[in-house]
Amino acid sequence: MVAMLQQPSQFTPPRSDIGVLVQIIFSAAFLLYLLYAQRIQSITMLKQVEGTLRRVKTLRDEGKRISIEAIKEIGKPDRDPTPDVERFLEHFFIQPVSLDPAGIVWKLEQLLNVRESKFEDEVRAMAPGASESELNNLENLLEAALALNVYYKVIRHFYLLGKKTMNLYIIMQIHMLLPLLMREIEAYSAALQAFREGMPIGDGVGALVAAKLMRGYEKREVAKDIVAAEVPWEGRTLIVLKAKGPGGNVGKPGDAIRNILRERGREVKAIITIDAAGKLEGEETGSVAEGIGAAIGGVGVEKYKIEEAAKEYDVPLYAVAVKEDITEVVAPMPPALFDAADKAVEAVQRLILERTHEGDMVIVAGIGNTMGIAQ
Amino acid sequence: MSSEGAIPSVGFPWGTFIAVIIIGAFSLLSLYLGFEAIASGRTEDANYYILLGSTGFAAMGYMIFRSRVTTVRKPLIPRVEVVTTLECPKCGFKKVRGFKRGDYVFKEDEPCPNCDGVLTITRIHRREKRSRRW
Ligand SMILES: [Zn+2]
Repeated sequence: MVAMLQQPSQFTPPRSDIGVLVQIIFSAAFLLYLLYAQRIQSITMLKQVEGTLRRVKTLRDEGKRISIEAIKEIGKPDRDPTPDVERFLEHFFIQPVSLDPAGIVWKLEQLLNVRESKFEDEVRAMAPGASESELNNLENLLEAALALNVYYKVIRHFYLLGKKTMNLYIIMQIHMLLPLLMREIEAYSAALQAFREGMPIGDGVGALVAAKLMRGYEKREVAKDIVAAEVPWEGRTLIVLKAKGPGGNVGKPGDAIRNILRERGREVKAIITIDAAGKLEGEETGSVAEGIGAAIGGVGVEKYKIEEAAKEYDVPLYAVAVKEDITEVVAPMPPALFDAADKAVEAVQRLILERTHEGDMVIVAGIGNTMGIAQ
Repeated sequence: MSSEGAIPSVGFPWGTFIAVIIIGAFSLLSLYLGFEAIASGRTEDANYYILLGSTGFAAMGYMIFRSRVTTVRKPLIPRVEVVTTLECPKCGFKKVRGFKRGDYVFKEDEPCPNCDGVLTITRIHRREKRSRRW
């Protein structure tokens, strides 16, 4: 080798031994890739899932830490809330059986009510020093931490299963979903800051529109955690409703609309719901769109109640949607969304002028989490 | 929580390191043989070896780049700056400050420094940042 380096020009056989060796090795590498491409791909994908999993774990741990910190700071508990928080984060929900779907909404509602009151009591026990709106915010915070925990456990499940079986299709399933899951996970981690501090979030834009419309008028509670005000406008009577702020609350707008319809019967000529809606890529945050139907998200219980009540009293349902990205729904509200509330108010007013007459009564429901927004 | 140990801990990427060393050695050898072939006038051999060598280096660079990406990207909890705007309904005095816990939209917060009105919170949102728009 040394002699070879010293006088390279004299080393001139047609093909050197080393050259052949190099060729063999590269051909072997090619052959290896040909035969084991799928396995190599599995390993690469698994590595990427592993990296994401590690990131999600950090976010999950951070969610837990922030929750415990906030409970200690706001709730002034007399004992360490850590074991209670850990127990809370493992909480699960069993969907009602849907083999016989008739009446499932009411079963679902009952289960959700139980869940809500249990969560409320648990948070109250963890944080005895918190005020009513602080309790609502803490509950939201704990639910965000719980969601992060579930995401983490599901990704970890597929990662470990993929590693155990080395099955490309199991690994591919989670690998394909990761970019979408990551957006949701990032949304929930942005929620931690908003929920801890009680800041208005993107989802609150519907409540903000209602708050702007009902400001300065007398309010009453028409359903659990829903306030309503009668607002005279252009000869019409608007019954504006929103969740009771400024704590993190969505209330039961379905019950509220049903109660108002029962009270006022066929005097009501239109129901307008305003809610934040997920935008498609390319659409601008804060753009306002009008449509038909009940603009309300969630599991569907409240939407069902609104639709049922509207059908019973034969009232048309109009919807105003404020577009926002999924990552903005539970994150502190961006300025474009805050400004969009004024545009949505204009859209609601135009809709009322176009679709109703003087003397009519209109229900205007601002849907969404009213955290950080009073009325 | 014992199952958490199932996720391998982040350490030095030894697998990548060894692969890079081996590929690097063979690429160097190929390049050496290539230049030697040029020196002795065997152009075809030279092209072949130099192609092999540079492919090896490209693969090496790619591997290093990949491992760097996974180690550099740190998990981050997004923390944004949120501002509160207060306005006096009487004289129109306006003030913007950082968000404080307990702030909410339409809260009557503090007395107006200009008149006897009360400053009311009118806006709470993230600090304006004009990023690229499509
Ligand atoms: Zn003033």
